[in-house]
Amino acid sequence: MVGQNGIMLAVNIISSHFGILVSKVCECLLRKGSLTIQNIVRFTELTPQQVKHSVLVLIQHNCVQAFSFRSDEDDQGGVPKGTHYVVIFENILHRLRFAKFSSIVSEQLDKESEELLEGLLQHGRLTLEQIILRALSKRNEGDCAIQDVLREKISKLVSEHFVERCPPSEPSVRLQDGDNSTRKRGTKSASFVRTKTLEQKVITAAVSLKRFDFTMNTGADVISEANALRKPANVTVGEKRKVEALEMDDGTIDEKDILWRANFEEFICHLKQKACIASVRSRLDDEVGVTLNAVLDATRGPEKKVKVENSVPLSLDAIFEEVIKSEEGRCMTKERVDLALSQMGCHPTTIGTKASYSVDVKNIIEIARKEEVESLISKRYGKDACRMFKLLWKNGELMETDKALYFFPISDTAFVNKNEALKSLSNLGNDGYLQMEKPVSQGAQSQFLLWKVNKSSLGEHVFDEMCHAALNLRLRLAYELEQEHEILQLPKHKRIGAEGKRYERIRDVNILLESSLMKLDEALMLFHDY
Amino acid sequence: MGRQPNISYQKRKRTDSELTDTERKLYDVVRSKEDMGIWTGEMKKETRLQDPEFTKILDSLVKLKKIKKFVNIKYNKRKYFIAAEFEPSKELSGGVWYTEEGKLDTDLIHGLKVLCKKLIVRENVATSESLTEFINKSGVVNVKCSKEQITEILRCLVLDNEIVEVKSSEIGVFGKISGGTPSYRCSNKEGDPKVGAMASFPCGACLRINECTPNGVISPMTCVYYTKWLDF
Ligand code: SF4
Repeated sequence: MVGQNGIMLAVNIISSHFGILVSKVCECLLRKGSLTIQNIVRFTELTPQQVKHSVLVLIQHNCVQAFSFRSDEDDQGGVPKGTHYVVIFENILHRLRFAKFSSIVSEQLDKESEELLEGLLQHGRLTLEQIILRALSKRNEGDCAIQDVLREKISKLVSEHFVERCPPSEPSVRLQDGDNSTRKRGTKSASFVRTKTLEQKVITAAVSLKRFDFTMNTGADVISEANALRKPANVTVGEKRKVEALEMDDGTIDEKDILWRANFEEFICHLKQKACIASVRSRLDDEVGVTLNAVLDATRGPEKKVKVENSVPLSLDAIFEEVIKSEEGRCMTKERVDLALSQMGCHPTTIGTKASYSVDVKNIIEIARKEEVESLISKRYGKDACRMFKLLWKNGELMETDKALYFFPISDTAFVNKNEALKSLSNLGNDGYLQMEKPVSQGAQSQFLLWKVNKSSLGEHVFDEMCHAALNLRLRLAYELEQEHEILQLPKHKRIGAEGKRYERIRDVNILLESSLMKLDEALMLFHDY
Repeated sequence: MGRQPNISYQKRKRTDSELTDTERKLYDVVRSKEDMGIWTGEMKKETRLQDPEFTKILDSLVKLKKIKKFVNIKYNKRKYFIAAEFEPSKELSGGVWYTEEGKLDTDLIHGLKVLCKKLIVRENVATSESLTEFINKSGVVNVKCSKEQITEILRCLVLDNEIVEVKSSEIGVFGKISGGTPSYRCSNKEGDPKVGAMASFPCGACLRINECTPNGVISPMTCVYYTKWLDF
């Protein structure tokens, strides 16, 4: 579920990347759910032309998907006619992570592949020809041999699932009750859940079977082909791409016109693996990290899904084999791998004579989320409040204030005043970190209060607050940069004295705010994508 | 309010023939409450006895050592009594961590926490048995500690992120600890709790976050916490 702050952050990202008009259309779709062009025009009060262009930009950058409703019955009555547009919230937030995506490709493949991916991230969707032309324009050479090397690299990017074919321009989705009603986000109502389902349905319907199908068309010279098909001077490459994005239809399209884009899901899989490893490394030790990495590497099959709950069961021998592939793992013994698995709470299950290990990935993510929330609570509400929160988290059920208070006195600082404890609990409750209930017995309200950590609503609350904090960081950064706009323009030789100091300050401010945003973005993914 | 005992007092065998009828009436009420005890107000209501007779009978039962007074940590102003053969429930007395006056024994708790942590750091891994044995043998604490007491201290250290609970695998550092036994180790290499992403910049610690809006009175552009943070 996406709250008000999630929407505001998404709108801020779109507005800073594509301007105010596009962000208006995006906000309208975020708040109202899927809409037709006519309805967007009605709600935003922009001209049809402005709306159309904005939607095209959003489609080009994979933030909006078009679809139409299909009814299984012959009777077409009640099915909303025309093309509908749904915004993909996650893909907007992924725009904060492009640098992370690029560095994955640079680590796993090479610098050239990273450059090719950057082209797709920058332009959203491109044909093979456009990807190659863009890469060649950055070099001085452009012969056929180089083009074949580039094709080879693109083929590798596709086979590694870093790049995929764009989905069909307008998949059809079966209409179900509630799908055509007006939906609002950010009002914590059940209607959002329907929007989410529709959004997911559209994404699922848009998955092409040929998603990772790359037929290499070697030998063709894109430069001469591009010259031969010289487009009318008044149509820009960008505009042509946008129109293609709308007109493309999977299946009938010429191979040359296939549009490609970055496959965000694959990158999130990689980042999730990294996050899990970082979490066990800091909580347990490096050897556990190496073992987990090996288990997850061996787990990655052809069907990669982000939301895997357990790793594929593997024998100790298979895990050990994978561990010693890495430099760090080479000095580990089988006994130490076994110990590392048990430190993660992973114990063998025996089927027949074979013992296999499966790591509880969901639990690792949950612990990482808990650590993030605990550190926030400790900082904001104090250590004592944090201890009570942890107790309630561990307990998992509603706890009477008295019982919580009974354990609470065992603190490192003298006896904690009961009123103080109750105040902390109330603060946590009012700010959405705890669920509070007043039990009613025989018609009268009891003097006891019941407290609980509701993990699913807590996750949504924390995510929304993180979106708020991310927006704050972005706004402050933009403000600071604007204030020092002139200083930043100064040539190197003029950055002396007071101005030199200001220049250094704004440079450090930029680094600090950007790095905080990068770190916060990891936490955003932890709560929303993993 | 409070827990109700399972056994009703009518079923109890009456052997206290030396008590007067009213004394027995009051004694039966107190005894029926088992380890939960009862306070004077409730006693009066249940027995319909009034002062000064009530106080007289209460005193005589105390003198006869049939009932005894105790402090209920939840209501320390009320006078609570319990039949002599029972000990007040942990919920009411606060258990071993409370002094007889109903006060939390903070010195003992703090001392034991520091001691347990030190021992775990020294030994690398420990169980509540091994710690209890060591603490009782060494005589550093002048009372005898039970395994349950030490386990509670360890749980508190776990809540404080000072240590972590792991199950023994019998390998490596776990050595002699039999497999599956809950054991305790330091939480991470440095023993410091991890600082999360939100806690690393002003908004994470900010209690005004709900009032903060881009164009409001409290806004990130004018935020004093940011100004202080970015003042270098
Ligand atoms: S910007 Fe300032 S006032 Fe607003 S939430 Fe962050 S720290 Fe608090």
